[in-house]
Amino acid sequence: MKFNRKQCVRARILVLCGSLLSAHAAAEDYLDGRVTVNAYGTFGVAIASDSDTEMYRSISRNGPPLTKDATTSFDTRAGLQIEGHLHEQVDVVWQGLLSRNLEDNTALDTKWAYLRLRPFEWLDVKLGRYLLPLYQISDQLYVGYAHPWVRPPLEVYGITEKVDHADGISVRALWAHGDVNYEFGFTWGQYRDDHDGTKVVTDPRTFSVMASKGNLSVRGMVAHAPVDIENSFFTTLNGVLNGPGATKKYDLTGEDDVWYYNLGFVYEDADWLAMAEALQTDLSDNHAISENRAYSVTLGRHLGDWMPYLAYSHHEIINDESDAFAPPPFNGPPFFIGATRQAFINQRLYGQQTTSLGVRWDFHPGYALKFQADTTRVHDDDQGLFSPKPRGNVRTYTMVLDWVW
Amino acid sequence: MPLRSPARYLLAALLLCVPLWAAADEGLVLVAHPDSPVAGVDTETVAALYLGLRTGLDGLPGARPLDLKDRKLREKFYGTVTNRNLAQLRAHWSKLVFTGKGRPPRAMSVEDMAATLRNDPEAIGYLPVSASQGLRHLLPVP
Repeated sequence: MKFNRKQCVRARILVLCGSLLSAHAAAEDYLDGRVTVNAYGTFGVAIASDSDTEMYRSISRNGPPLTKDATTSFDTRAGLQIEGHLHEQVDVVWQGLLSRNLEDNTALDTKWAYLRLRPFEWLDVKLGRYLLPLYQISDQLYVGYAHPWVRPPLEVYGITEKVDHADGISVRALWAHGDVNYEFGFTWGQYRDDHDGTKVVTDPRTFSVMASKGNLSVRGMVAHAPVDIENSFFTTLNGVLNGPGATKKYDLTGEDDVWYYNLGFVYEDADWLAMAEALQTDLSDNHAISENRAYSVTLGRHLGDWMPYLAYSHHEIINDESDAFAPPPFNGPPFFIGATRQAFINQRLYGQQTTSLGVRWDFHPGYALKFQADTTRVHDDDQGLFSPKPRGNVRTYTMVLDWVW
Repeated sequence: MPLRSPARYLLAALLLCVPLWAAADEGLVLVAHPDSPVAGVDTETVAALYLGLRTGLDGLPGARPLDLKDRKLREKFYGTVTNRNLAQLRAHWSKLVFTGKGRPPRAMSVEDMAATLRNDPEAIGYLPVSASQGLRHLLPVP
C-alpha cells in the first residue's frame, strides 16, 4: 500500500483542526445555554485496485480523486455548528465544513447559515442558507456518524453533489394523524456558482413529504429547478454540437428546466436496518445534459455495537445519445466533426453500479469505526465516475473513523 | 476469620452495586406533572416524541420530553419504547442536531427529574416506579 505522505499530513492537520474545535464543543453550552456548539468529523483512508484510473465523488468532479495510492483526502472532513438562541422561538445557526477540494487544498464552506423561527411547536421556518433536501439523507450528508456507510452511495449521491445548498427559505411542518407522523418540507432559494469561467445560477424549489409509523419512514420529494449556465467556451461548442447533421438540440449554455424526483424508505429496529432510495432527473428537450436514473438498497444487521451491511447501488443515463448525429455522407471534415461531438456527448455517460460490503462498529459513545469494500462495474459504453474508463471491475477499500460531539 | 483486604473491597463494591441493579431491574413508568391534562399515551406516540418525530401530545401541545443520565435506565426505556439501542439513538439525534430539526431531550438524574416533573406541567419523563410517587402515571414501561 503506497501512501501519499503530503496528502496524509494535510488531512491530519484538517482532522486536528476539527478535533480542536470539537474539544471545545464537548462543553456544548456557553453563556448560560444561549450558545451551543456541536462538531462532527470523518477521518478516512481509501484505496482503489485499478492502477490506471481515478474515481471521483460526483459527476461534477469537484473533489480529489480516489486512486491506487492510499488517500485520506477523499473522505476526510470536519464540521462545526454554532447555534445562538436569541429567544425561545428564534435561533441563528452557522455550520461550516472543512474538506479537500479538487486542487487538494483544504476549503471551508458554509453549508448552513440561517435565522430559524418557530412560531408554533409544529412549524419551523429557516431564512438563509440550507442544504437542499434532494436525497433521503442529504440534510446530514456530511455527518458520517449519522449514516451507515463509509460514504453515501456515489451512484445516487454523486449526481448533484456540487449543487448541494441554496440561499432562501426553508419551511418544515409536522403533523400527527393517529400513530402516523408526517413531515412536510418546502424550500425555495437560489444557488450561484462562478468558478473557472463557468457561471451557474439555479432557483430550485423542492417539496417533500415524509410519513413515519413506528420504525418505518417513507419519503417522497419533487424538485423543479430552472438552470442557467454561462461559459464562453461552451457557447462556441454549441455551434459545433448543433451544426449540420445534428438531430436534436444540444445546448451546453442558456436556460433549462430540470425536474427531479426522489422516493425512499428507512426501516430500523434493534435488529435490522433496511434502506432504499430511487431518483430520476428529467430535462426539457435539451439533450446535452444527462438525464439520470439511480437507486440504492442497503440492508444491515445490528449485533450489539456492530452492524455488518450490504449495499447495492446503480446509476444509468436515460437519454442515450448514440444516434445523436446523422451518419456523415463521406469521410472528411463532417465525419471528423461528427466523431468529435459524439465523443463529447459520450463524456456524460456516468452509468455504473457498485456492490458494497461493510461493517460499522460503535466502539464508544459518539465514535464509530467503519470498513467497507466496494466493487464497481462501469456500464459497457459508459465511463462512470472514472477517468479514464477502467478496464474491468474496480475494487475500493475504505476505513473511516466518524465522530460527533 | 477476618476478610483479607482485596476481598473486603470486592464485597463492599458488590454491596454498593445492589441498589443500581435493583433500579435497572425495576419497571419504569412514563410520568408527568400531577395535574397534567394528558390522560394516557401509547408506545408509538411516546417513541415519536422522544425521537423528535412529533411535537407535543394530545391535550399538551407543548409537551417537553426529559431524559435520564443513567445509562441502564435509558437503555431499558429506549429499547422498550423505540426498539433501538443507545448507539442507534445517538446516530439518530446527530441527524437532527446537525440539520436544525431538534435537540435531544435534556438528561438529568432520577432525583432531578422527579423534582422537575413536580414543578413543570409541560415536562414528560420516565422514572423507576419507586421514584414516581405523587406523579401522574401515563404509560408503564415494563
